[in-house]
Amino acid sequence: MVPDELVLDPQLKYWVLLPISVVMVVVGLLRSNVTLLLKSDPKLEEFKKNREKQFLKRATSFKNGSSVLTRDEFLVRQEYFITQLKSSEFFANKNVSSDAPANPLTDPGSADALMEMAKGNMMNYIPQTLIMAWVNYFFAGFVIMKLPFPITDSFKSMLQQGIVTPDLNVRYVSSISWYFVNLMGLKPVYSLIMNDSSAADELVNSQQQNQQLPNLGAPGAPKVDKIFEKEAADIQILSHESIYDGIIDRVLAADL
Amino acid sequence: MSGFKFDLVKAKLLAIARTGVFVNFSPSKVDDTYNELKQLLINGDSIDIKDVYDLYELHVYLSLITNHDVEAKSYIDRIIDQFGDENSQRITLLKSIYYESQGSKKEGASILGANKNELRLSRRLLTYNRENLKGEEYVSNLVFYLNLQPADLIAWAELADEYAKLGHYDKSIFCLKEVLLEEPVAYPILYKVGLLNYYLFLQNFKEAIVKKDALVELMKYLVDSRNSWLRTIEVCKDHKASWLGVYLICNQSSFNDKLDKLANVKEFEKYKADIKRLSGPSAQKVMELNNITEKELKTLVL
Repeated sequence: MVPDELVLDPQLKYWVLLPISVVMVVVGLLRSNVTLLLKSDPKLEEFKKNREKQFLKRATSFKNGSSVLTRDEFLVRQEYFITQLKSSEFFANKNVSSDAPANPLTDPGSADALMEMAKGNMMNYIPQTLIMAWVNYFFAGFVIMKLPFPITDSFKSMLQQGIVTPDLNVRYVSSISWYFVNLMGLKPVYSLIMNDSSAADELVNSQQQNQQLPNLGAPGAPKVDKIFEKEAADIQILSHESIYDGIIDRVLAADL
Repeated sequence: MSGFKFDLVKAKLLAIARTGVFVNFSPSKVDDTYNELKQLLINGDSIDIKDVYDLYELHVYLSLITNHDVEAKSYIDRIIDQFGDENSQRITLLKSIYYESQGSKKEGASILGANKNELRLSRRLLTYNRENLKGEEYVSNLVFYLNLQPADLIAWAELADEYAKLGHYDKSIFCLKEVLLEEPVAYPILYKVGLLNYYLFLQNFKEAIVKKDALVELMKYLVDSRNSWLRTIEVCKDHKASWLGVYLICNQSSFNDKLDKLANVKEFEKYKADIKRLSGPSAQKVMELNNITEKELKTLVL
């Protein structure tokens, strides 16, 4: 049976607890700077892509705000948008067939995005794997501190990973658990050191690997011709309600 | 300046910087804003680094408007020291505007480059030589640009102004309606639409017109004009010019007399009933807003 109280060598504090904390902070800061260096310059969006998006925006504005138009203006625009949305006039890439999904590995845009993602992931995984291996290699099975306040048993799995002691008081913290606590809880420290809470947010978010995979615009992403077709269908069935109907009554009632 | 006031002034100036609203300021307000910003930047050690450069950019524009060219240059240099001289459309734009203000128009245009993907610079390049281009030429350039960037509201508004200058009021209205589709309560634009419809009426109205179809067409312009002005009033209650416009339409005697001569036309009856309802209230409102008597109103309009 494991006794309730363990006697911890005070040297553990100086040779295990502090080194793990310091290494995590320093590696985190280094990682953020190296990530910045590795980040490629943001690329300008190709004007044809922009044109495609802007036309879609214009069509959406018409769909949502057509009440500012008169009946005649509405009909002219409705016809125009249906014709253009059904044609390929505003497509950025007019030769793309909607049935054959583009290969993300041959598309230069996707390749860049893949490379960026790979770089980001490498900068997350490599330092974390190294630190974890370092902690596991040198301090495996260490109980390094006792929390100065009582906590419930549900924290046991969080604070006592890597040591098989079902009866040990939950206030004792193992070395590998201290690593995880640091990984999750260093945000205020980064904020303080970097003097910028948003940068610290970014760093912590990326460390915890919560980021979503970017949509590469290849498989799964809706095709532009499908979006345009849907928009054309929406505009086809759009009914016109003019804001000018009954405006005399409204103004006279409001003002006099 | 107390900390709270400092934060408020900073927030106000950042809003001015990010909306670009200073371009519509009166000269005295530009001067006040310039002095306020200068003071803020002198005491501005605690301003966040992200905001500082937005304020520097605003300071460049305000300095150029208020004729402090040396100061503008020094702030452009500070921005360049931080971000470098390449790959930024904002910095290129600032430099181009600075060169233009110094009379080096050629240099100002040459640094804009010809990269089609740099959309902000494309628009600047397009409008750069508008003084040298003939009306139609500038319009065709704007149309070309809008085909590439169909949702650029500033360009639509610019094209509307150019069409209006050339007397193509119908096309001008089309352009302004594009702005309204995106910004439906932009009352200055609504007012302009009313005005252009009224111009369209004046352009087509001739004393010799007596046929019903032609009069219906003319009436449509007046109805659209009246409705746009009423919508302006609905958004901005005491819009003086719109009330005056509504009053003018109600008192368009030469046109109304022609309608009176054609009895029992359904469209005309409704139109006449509407202007009858609006005539009194619009006159009253114009007098109230302009602080004038009925006699003065009549002399003012006729």
